[in-house]
Amino acid sequence: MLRASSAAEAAGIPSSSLVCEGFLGQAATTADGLGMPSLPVAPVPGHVDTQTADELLDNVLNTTVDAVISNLTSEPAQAVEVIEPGATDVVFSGTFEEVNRLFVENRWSDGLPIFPPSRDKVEEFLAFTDLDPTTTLGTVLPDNRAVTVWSIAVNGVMAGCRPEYMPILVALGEAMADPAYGVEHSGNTPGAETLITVNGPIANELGFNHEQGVLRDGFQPNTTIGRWWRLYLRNVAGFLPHQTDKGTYGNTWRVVMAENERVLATIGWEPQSADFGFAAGDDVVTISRYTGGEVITSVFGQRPEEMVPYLADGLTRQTGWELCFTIGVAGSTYRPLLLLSPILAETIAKAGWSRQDLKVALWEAARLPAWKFESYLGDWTNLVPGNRTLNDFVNTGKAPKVFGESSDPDRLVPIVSEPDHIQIAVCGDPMRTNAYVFSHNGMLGFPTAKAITRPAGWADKLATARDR
Amino acid sequence: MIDNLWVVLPAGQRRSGQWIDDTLRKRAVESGFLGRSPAAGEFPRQRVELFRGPDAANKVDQTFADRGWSDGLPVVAPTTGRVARAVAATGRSAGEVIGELDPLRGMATVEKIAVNAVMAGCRPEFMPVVLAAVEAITEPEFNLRGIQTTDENATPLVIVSGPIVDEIGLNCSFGVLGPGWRANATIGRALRLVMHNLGGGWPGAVSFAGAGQPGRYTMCVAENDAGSPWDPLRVELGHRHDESVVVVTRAESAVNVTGGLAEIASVMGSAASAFTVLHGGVPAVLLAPHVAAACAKRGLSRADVARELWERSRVGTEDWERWWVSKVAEPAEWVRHAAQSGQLSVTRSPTDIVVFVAGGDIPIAQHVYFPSWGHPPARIVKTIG
Repeated sequence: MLRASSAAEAAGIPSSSLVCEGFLGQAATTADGLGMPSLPVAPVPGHVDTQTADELLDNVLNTTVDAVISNLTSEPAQAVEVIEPGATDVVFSGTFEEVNRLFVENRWSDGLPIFPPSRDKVEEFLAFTDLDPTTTLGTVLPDNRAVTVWSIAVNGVMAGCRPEYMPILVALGEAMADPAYGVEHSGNTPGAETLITVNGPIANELGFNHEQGVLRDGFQPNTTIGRWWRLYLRNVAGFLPHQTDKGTYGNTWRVVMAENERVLATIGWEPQSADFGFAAGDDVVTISRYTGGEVITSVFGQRPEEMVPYLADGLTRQTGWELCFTIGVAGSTYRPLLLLSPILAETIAKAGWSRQDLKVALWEAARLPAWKFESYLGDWTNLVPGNRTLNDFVNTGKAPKVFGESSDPDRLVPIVSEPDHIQIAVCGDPMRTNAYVFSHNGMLGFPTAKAITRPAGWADKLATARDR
Repeated sequence: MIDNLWVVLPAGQRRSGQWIDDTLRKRAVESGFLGRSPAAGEFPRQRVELFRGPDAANKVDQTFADRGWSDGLPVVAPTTGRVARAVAATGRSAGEVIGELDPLRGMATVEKIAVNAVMAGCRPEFMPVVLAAVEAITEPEFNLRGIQTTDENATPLVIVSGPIVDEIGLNCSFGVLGPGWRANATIGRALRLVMHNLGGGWPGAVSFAGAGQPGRYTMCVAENDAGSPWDPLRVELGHRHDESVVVVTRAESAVNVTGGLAEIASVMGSAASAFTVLHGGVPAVLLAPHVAAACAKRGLSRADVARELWERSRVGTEDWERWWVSKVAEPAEWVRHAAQSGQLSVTRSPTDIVVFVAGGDIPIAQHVYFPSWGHPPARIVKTIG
């Protein structure tokens, strides 16, 4: 909302953003990050969702309207610049314990011990990129800071990464700053968490876990790069709980996932990165923000047709309010992810199915009654106001025809607009018949992939780093 | 390294993330007042800083003074532990924003208020009173911007009324305006440090009070329930007897008056009240228990006392027109109107005079008159806790 207002103000059009009481602090900090700290805000007392129409009318007339009038008729003050320490300043010298205490007290840490980002440690990381440390890969809201190679390295040291992970961190910095991803939404109330996928030979070279316990901590690259993501959101983008991060519950950062590319090659399936135009063998990071996930245990069957109903049921069960990203809030941006254990993927492939065939079958099977889909958008959440039926969306060109094939409220409709919107990756314990499904946060963390660039002399540098 | 101190910095930060000290340093340099705070604006831009021993407490005191974070008296080091205990005593979360303090708009979070209260010497149990006082000065009608920047010498007068007076050891009897009582001394001082460090009211740089006044260090008094013949002030202002409140006004000064209502009225009807008359202010009268008892014996209620003072403290139009303020400032409409009748009352109505009983119970009674400054009329009441 504030982003729209800032664009309007930038174009010389007076704006007034209506903000519920509980969000005023976030609005103010967001406005600062947009470089418009005086962006006019009109408060709405309480939260609109819990008020009767009369209460809301009362609140708006008594409080909001005056502010709107004043906002639209007065000129906001000029933007200001916040003075911060220089990127390479030494801000502290002390023992390991002292550094850690300072970082916790000043909210530069996630609460776990950090590795002190001394200049020599940062330099070790910088040796693993050909980019100049001052290189800017973009800017990230809400604090509107530059994503620099230097700050990527600093947070990499802090997170406990090894220097040779730097090419992956740089690619992630680039992905975070890509407008398509939407990092500015990372503090929204559903509190979804990003999952990073690494594809390509670099995953094995750096020792990523892709098999048993792939989503578990315990493997240095998976664990520390996952932690880096959250530290970077905190220290550079500026997402702080109780301030700009309004996740109602949130959850811990996710460890990085890698695919079992040996199995993929054997069965002739493409990696997840192929969905973004990359080929097998390319080193790629993919980021995407998922609202939740669940394991689908003991998938039984010898043929894909026997397995698809259960897998599709998993996709459907994990998808509720998120349907507003299929139709309504940001149509056709819902991208759930299904992880298949290698043995499940091999069994499905053995029947001659490609990854694409599986997507189509899942799309046809992962369905729910239209009335329920509509309830998630309207009656239960009011995420998509106006009490519109799926047929209303179809008739106004805002949803594909498949959602309006009849007016029967019990008819089954898909959870995504087309088969390609279901993502599939292969990883986990090779011999277990389990799968895992992630529900997705739509445009508020849209899948975004970036190539990983190795520095010149990679093999030598890697060998040296390992011996150190 | 037991002597190391981890201290939470007291300086004000705006919503934008800017530290108000950057503005303060510029103003101090411009006005030639950097001598008070040679290291103004020179500090790590972070929440907590480590001061290493030996003698870390003195280093904190000296460094804070150099950075301008002091009223001139030594400060208690706001260590993370002391601050955490002060925050805990409020029952509120550290990050809660009580207000943005004029004129430089530093955010008064519960934690920042606690830091300044610890520096002032407050015990944790004083915190609810400090918070209520800060809430009071953030009310628009308090006109904090005016108080902080005016060339007059005004300061908040904090009157505490309620059971908390006894609970935390606030003095309401002999020597109520000090010195000697920790709670009175440090609560008033905490409010000053909050105004100084979060609002930016640095003397000479932002605040242009010509002379200042001792009450700018601290001015917190408690109502003497036991010595009062009337319902407590809080009850008259619509609160329950078992509630505690702060009543905050803008006081130009504290003028001693010995005697009875006639003498008080005489001081009130003088140029001491010039600014009170100008805008129609809210002056306060601290009435000694002995005189209050005598008034009650005559059958006077608190409101009757206020009316008697109001009626007897008239200013003649001739005098008023000779006073400096009437020549240089635009008086309120009702003041101009009243001046045409030959005499002026000090306030628009008797109910604008805050009368409360405090001080020691001795026959040679001493009272205090607190003329008010500025507009709009302000008598702000906040519940404590």
